[in-house]
Amino acid sequence: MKLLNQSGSLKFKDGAALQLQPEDKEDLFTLYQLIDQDDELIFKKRFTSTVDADKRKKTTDMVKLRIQVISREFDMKDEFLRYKGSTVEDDTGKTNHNIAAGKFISYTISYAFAFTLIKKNFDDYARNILKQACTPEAKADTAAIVLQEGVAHVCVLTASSTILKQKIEYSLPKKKTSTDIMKFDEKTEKFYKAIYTSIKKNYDFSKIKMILLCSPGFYAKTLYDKIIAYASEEQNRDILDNEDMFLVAHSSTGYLQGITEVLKDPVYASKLQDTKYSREANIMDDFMKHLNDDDYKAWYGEKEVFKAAEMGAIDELLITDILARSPDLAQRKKYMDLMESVESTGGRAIVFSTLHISGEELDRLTGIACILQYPLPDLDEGLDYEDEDDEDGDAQSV
Amino acid sequence: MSQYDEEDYINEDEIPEFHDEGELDDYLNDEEYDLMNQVLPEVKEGMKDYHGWTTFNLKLAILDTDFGSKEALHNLRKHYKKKKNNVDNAMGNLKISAAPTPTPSPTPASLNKTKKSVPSKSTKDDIDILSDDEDEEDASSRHWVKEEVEEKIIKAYKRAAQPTKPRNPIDVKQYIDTQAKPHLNFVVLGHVDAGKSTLMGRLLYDIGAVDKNKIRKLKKESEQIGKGSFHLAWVMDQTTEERERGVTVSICTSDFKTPAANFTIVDAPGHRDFVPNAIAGVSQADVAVLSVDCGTDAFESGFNLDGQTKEHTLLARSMDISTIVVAMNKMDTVDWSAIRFYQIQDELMEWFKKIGYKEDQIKWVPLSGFSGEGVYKIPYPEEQNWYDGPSLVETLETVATKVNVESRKEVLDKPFIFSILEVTTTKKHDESILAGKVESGSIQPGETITIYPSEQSCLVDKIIAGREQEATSIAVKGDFVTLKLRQSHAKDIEGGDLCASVGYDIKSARKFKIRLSTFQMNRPLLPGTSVMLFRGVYEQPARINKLLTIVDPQDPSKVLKKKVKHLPSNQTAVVEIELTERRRWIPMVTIDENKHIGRVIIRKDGRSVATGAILEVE
Repeated sequence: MKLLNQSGSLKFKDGAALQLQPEDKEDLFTLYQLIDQDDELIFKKRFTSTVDADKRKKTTDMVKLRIQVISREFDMKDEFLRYKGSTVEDDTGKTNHNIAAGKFISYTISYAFAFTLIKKNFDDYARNILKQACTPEAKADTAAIVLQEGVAHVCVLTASSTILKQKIEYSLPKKKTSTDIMKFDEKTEKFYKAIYTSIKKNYDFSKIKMILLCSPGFYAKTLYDKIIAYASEEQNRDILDNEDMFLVAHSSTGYLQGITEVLKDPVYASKLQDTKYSREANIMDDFMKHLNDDDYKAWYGEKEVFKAAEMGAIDELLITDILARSPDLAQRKKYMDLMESVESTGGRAIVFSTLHISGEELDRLTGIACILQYPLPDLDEGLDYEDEDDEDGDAQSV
Repeated sequence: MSQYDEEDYINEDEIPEFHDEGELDDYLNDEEYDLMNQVLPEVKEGMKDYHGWTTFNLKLAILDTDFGSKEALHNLRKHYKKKKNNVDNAMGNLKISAAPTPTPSPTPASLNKTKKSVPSKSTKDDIDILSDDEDEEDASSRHWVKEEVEEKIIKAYKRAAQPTKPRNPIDVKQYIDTQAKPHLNFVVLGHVDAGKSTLMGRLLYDIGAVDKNKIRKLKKESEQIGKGSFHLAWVMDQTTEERERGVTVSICTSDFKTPAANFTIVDAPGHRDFVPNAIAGVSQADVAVLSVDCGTDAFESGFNLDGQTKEHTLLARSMDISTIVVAMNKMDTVDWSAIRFYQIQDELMEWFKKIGYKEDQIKWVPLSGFSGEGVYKIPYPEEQNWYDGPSLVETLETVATKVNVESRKEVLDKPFIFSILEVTTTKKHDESILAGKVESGSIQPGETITIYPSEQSCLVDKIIAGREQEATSIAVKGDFVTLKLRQSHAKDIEGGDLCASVGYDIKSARKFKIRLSTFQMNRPLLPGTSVMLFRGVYEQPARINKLLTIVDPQDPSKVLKKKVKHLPSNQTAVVEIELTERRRWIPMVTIDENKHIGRVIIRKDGRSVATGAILEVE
């Protein structure tokens, strides 16, 4: 994303006007997180207005509009982000010429045009994601294909999300003594071919830094061989030139969980570098490990986490973007303060994207969890729960 | 009916299919019309205690019995339910269909005759009227065969409310008491390279289910790619990938018979990556043959933490496999050493006891799959002078008889449930072919079944069974058969779907409550944890939604703990599980309804972490 112009500071409550030019779907996700209800947008749009008194004559012009955001629609998969809002009065007189205030107008964010965002409330989190999004460093995606016999998922992993581009399913004949084996081989071939076609269709090789092929058994290896064979057959330079981008990995299943499995597997850690999604998967796994060891260092649930934060005991705070970007400002403030307090006591706060599998899991797990610096066996003592009759209140000692 | 003569029969093909009463009335000539109006009130009066019929049904029945009111009434009464009937009856008109038929008990001769007539039927395309195949049969048997006019062709995804009668009814009880040989499904388990496929190839070869020429051909082929010792395994492993890599990937079923019993073998893969397929294999079996490589160090490597010996037996235990026959394989490589045999036996028995097997549930046979000693009739060599028990096949025959006695009980008392392994289509647009296993009850051609979750009702046209793929007139619990269906929509049927007799509903859901018993895990289960759920051949990503209570494993009704924050190893808990792929619901049967298919296996990160019993389907 490009920050073309900025007026005002990004300090909390000061408010600022930012002229932004989104460039890819990651930016859309950033904007989705950044723009809140009641923020204002200035953009150009073709607008039809009736000018005559008897409402006959219509004119369509490209006009500058300024709206206050009411609602939004977002789909990461289709790279679609649209805001709805109503026009507001503009003191500067630069926008909303001859347009009444209170008209409902929608605006679909596009990569082609810049727009201006007037945002009143900035917090740490917003500042951070904006800064990250505007850093010009290469933001390449990882492609991942996870497969098993007859099922393949063609995905893209970005910093913020796991996007399932296409699911390929072929019902391969279960082999039987009487089944013609030729037919089976033919169908298997079709299956691999379909994956190859999907790769060509869904992946933009200039924006991808790695292609992960994971499967149980030998399917991933076979797929790799097939891809190279198909590509050399039709002299597909995109693939042949990027042969070293492929990484064949082992997972236990051909469903999406297989990707998470690979991400947290130390064998592939060096190859995956320290990407955000592999970091998230690893921290989540670390959390699970502490729970399993029963060392009283891993806790989840709002009350437990806040209590631990009060004691300054949190080493790592796991929180979902849903909570961190809660539409309720009081809630959001509460979590921002929590994150700040954790960081001030030497801890680390990690915001999980719920568009990744590990974030989705955390979301189910109340959305907030922590790993402590030292064990606190009685952390949940004295916290009220609805079913207080249950005296064995210790989640750790089962 | 008794006045039925040759001419009538010839005309029969010309009787059109009626869609409503008006059409039928138009078809009748004046004389028949008057006759109809005479008979109708009589029949109506006789049917007033029953429900579910319409005047149109009555008219059809009357026409079908050639205006004989008594016969029509008789047929109708069998077909429709009596008002205020008890619940028990509602389940299976299946039973009624077989039991009260006053057929002279089917002698073997007449049975054979019916069998013969079945294939000829397939050539006729119309099955609208059931009586189309009785050309040669004598009048008395014809009387009982020709009973009922088919229902109208069921529209897509309309469920049939009424069951249909078998075309050539067979008394189920009599059949299982006298006709049926014991039938046993067994799955072959064991660590990778324990020689499972070779053992099965050997078994099929020695019994004569695979001919010499084929073995010779396989031997030549396997030697060509330098895998000479694999030729027996290739009987079961047929895909190029499996042969080149020398591992079994998918399950493979094969039938064979001995004089004492019929068998279906399910060969399961041993490699850890293909445990999902092994689960599918175990789900189809009544007993398991565990192949153990007795070679030096080989047993140990299959039995340690990462070996599949433990995981497979644990799965078998979880899925209610009553008996395990341990094939102490590759004994020839250790010179049939008794010391080795007993050492392994001790170690394994300790494990079996730990997971809940009793000593009498485990049988032990020393053998060599490659050379064939101890498998069927090949005698043991001289070195082996310490074991004089039965061979593998003899052991299986004994087990078959035992299992048979128990499973037959479920044929009569339970509704028909069939689990589908594979669906294939044919050129005929409404025909589909389902391969699978009868989980309970029995089925005969001519009956209507409903497939879940698509809830389509289909007519069973043919039942095909056995190695030779012959048409048969009945299939009972435990049989592996192929059903040829009419009036079906194959595109909405998948492997793993369930079929049941009309009147028995199976719920489909994405969310359900299960009682989970966790195994040894290295990460606990939390709300939100993603797992893979297995039920038979079904494999679906799922998520644990809520941990409800931890219960006593011995007595599941006793709640130990209400507030559960995480679920660690070796606990039993009630949890709510949800499928994460929204595409399709899956039909689920609770553990109370059927203890075999009411079970699921949960896996995570390539390990089996828990087994579950389905308690409640939403």
